[in-house]
Amino acid sequence: MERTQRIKGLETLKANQTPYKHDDVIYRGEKKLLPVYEIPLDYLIYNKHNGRILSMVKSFERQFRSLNPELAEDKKVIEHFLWESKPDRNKTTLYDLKEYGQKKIGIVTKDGIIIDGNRRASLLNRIGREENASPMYFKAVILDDTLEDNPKEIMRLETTYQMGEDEKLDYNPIEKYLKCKDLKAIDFQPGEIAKMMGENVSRISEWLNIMELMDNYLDELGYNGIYTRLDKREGQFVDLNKYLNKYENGTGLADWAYKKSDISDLKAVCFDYIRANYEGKEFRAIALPSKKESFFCKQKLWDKFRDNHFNNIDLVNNEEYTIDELRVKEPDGDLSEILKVRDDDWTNKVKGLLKGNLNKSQRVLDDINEENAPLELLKRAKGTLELIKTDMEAFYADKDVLSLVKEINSLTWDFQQIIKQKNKE
Amino acid sequence: MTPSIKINVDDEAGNFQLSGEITFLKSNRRARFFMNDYLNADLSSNEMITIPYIKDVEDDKEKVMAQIQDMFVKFGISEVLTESSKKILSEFLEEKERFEEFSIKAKKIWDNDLDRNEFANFIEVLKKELPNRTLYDLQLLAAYHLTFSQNACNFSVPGAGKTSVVYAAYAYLRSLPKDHKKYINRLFVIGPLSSFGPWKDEYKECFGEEANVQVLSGGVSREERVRHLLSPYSTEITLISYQGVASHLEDIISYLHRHENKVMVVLDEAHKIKNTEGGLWAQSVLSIAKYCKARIVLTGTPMPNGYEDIYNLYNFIWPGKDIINFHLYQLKEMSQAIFDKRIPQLIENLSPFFIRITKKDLKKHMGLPEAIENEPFIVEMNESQRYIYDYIEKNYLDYFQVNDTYQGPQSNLVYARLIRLMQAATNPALLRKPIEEYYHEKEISSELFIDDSGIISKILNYGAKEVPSKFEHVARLTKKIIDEGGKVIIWGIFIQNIRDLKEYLFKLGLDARLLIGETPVETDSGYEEETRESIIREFNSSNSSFNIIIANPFAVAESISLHKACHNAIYLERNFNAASFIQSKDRIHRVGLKPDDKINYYYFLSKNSIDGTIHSRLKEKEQRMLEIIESREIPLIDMNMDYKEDLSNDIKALIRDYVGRAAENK
Repeated sequence: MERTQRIKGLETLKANQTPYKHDDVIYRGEKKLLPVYEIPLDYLIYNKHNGRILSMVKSFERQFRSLNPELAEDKKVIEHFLWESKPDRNKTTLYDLKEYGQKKIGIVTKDGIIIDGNRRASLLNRIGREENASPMYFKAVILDDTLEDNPKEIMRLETTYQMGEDEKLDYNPIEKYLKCKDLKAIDFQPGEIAKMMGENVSRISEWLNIMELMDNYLDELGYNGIYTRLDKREGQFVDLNKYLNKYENGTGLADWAYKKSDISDLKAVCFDYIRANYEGKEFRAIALPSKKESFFCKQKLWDKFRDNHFNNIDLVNNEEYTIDELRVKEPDGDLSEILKVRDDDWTNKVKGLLKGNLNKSQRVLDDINEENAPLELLKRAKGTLELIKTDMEAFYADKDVLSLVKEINSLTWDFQQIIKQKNKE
Repeated sequence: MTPSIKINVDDEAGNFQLSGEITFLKSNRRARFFMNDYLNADLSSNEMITIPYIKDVEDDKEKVMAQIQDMFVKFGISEVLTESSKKILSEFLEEKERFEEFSIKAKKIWDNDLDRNEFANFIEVLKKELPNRTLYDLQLLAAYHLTFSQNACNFSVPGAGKTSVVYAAYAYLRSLPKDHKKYINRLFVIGPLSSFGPWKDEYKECFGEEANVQVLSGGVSREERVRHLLSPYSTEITLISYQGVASHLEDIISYLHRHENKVMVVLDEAHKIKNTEGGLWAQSVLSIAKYCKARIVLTGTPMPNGYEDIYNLYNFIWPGKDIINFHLYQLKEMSQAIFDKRIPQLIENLSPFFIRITKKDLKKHMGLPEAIENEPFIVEMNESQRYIYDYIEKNYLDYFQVNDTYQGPQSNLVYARLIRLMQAATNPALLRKPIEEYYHEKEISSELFIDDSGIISKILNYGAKEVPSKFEHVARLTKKIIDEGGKVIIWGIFIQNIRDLKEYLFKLGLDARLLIGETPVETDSGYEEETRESIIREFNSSNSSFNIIIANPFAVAESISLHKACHNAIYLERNFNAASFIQSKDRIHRVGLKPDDKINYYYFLSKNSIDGTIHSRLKEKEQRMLEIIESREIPLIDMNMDYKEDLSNDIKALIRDYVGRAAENK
């Protein structure tokens, strides 16, 4: 249905239908009790900016075309994305809707764009198709504005409902970053975004930074806009963002006076490991700002690791097919898939090199740490001993305590003798 | 073949334009990452990479240029600067060249690899230019180092003659032909007020004539200061306080920039600019650095609290050159860990740029005699003082034992009690006074922390009729020394005690002068009848009308020399601050003494009191501090020696001594 028809249809419906019930909606900063109508789903279209499916929509649009939810073909694409965003959850909701009908109301604009409830609406459509029931109804509040009338307010409303406290938990991790970026693009301040998303401001700023880093990663590979390529890599970007910030602000624990260009090197190396899907302890070993646990913090180790890395990996990179070359080979392929294959091929080629370099450096790091171990262990032991309260019966009356104290005493005596002996030699 | 890239500065557009083999840079992803992340480079064109700088931000152009150069070095690219760019960046390039040349030279001097002929010539020139002063070999070497590195630090211990060394370097550079690139004709000294007198006096001793000096602090009017800074006929030597630099920043920069002024800027007691958190003094001083022709940093304690303290000093002598090559927070970390493996590297980075003469050197090479530490005199308190002291000591020590965290606001309460205890040990009359007079910290309480009315009335009645026992003993020794033809400096902590002692000595016919915070500093406009400088000058002269100075180490522990006239120091009272104690001792124990001079230190301690604890703690701390100070490397005075930081150890010692005494009495 076209926009004018939808507006007209909804107006008529409002004029003639007795509201199903009334419900509270917070809009334009006020809580309002608004009538809820049962709206035929034909009057409504999906919101492609829905925070749940942003990454898929953006990746799709980057590759093929701008999605128009009014068209049956694109409607299908969006429904597919909505389903894929969380299949398990959708199965549960689907069952629930079939059994009990729609419990939670939705919100739609004056021109029939679903602001809150896209997933439920798509499931109701699905039920309609499966059961050949038509028309299906969607219970929702109808706002007085269209998206064009008031894009900021509607975005605010959407975000508040979609990404409020509980909702965002079942989103794919990547979506919240994209949402922040979109909101920022229409001039929302981090403070406002924080409020909508039920987060604090510093968290939003962090998300925006992480988004920038992810964009940076995609751009560097020539994948800009193909957010599906970030799948399963979110955690590494969160970590890397933290590390880079620390090194830039000078709170890292490196043993050398690294320069900004060294931080750039670090980022380039980490991007490669992210591309090859490294995570967890192995990934952290490269850059974690900690005296003991990462290569970057030890200059000599880092120099070697870095040089090895670039010498090996750049050779592979230079031989890689460019995206344009791949497109020529497969003009009709899904770009997202092509790139996935490209990443997999690359990973296969560099796997051994990355792993080898990582393991070698980890062994060197372990050796270095072992050198420092006696002092660390002794410090810890001393700290523990100092915690003991000596004016308690449990201390002075317990015979086992005394014998342990003697053991410790003789142990430290031996230490002293060894130190004296070795220093004489 | 190394790729070569042309750099052009477009001052109009505010950017650097890189052309030539830029594909090399663009295809190197490390360079690309760096240019994107930190240089905001525009890499879209195939002909040219443009890198912007902010025109309105001072130094941004130079900073960006330095980063581009670093990048070229890192990725093996040779740079070609266009002629117009060379002009635009001339100061930057010159400074870079000077730095490279001087770094090599400074390192050689440090490594004892001197050019013998040049050194001999240097000495010859000094004989003529510095007619009245013969420098010791070590001082000559230090002067030579300053002269030829032109930007350097002198971290010698107090009493090693840092002022003469600066004058020697200055005299040499002043004697160069006017068109020589190292020629200097002005000396601009930034230091505490108490240092001004010595700078003037030392000039006379070095050159045999009065210095042509303008003081820009104290009572000098604003107009006069501005006139001096902006006139082409300014005096040869300028003395200004750190505070003064902050309030005349722009005029000072114009002064340094004047065509006819070739200025050597000296930071005396330079640790005063150690604040790296945007302190006004530090910021102001650092901002003038790039306008100086030569830069000298003087301090015996370059790192009073940690390695980070050195950060500003090195940024002053070579702004933007990153000699330290560690980040500020890394320096802070190193201060926390004595065995930090980065420390040797740090010292190596710093070494070529500083010279250090230790007390050991003074004794070994410059004839400084060993000082005599007399056994302390133990003074019995009289009856009412004993009563008051014991009462409050018991009260406070109970408090210390219960409140055993000495951090945060709590520490001020602990600290206030310590001060009260020290006061009671010397003169209970002080307990009547609010504590602020001693310690100008807002947070600190002025209370006595005693609510027993009996003891309070005893305190109120004290003093009206009693003379503290220590006064009597100190007076006796003072009289003896003076009768034998000597002079004495008496050190006290509490201003009221210092004043009372002066009065008491006066009644006994012993005339003394005070050097305390309120003693005025000499200025050029209108002499006050008695200033620190005039008092010191007269005291140092052979026919002085008085033979006693009573001083407070906080006011005058730095900068003054009394060793020529006075060989005796008496300590009426002390606190736990070892740094100022050591500095006060150095006033009479300095280079220039004859090997057979007898330098005596005398201490008076009230029996069974905090004085004993202070004495033993100071001995310990002094020992530890000297060990560090005497090392050839830059001494790091470890955190724990800092006065307040070490509060908990001091209190522990106090409790231990108290308990020990109590046990003995039983």
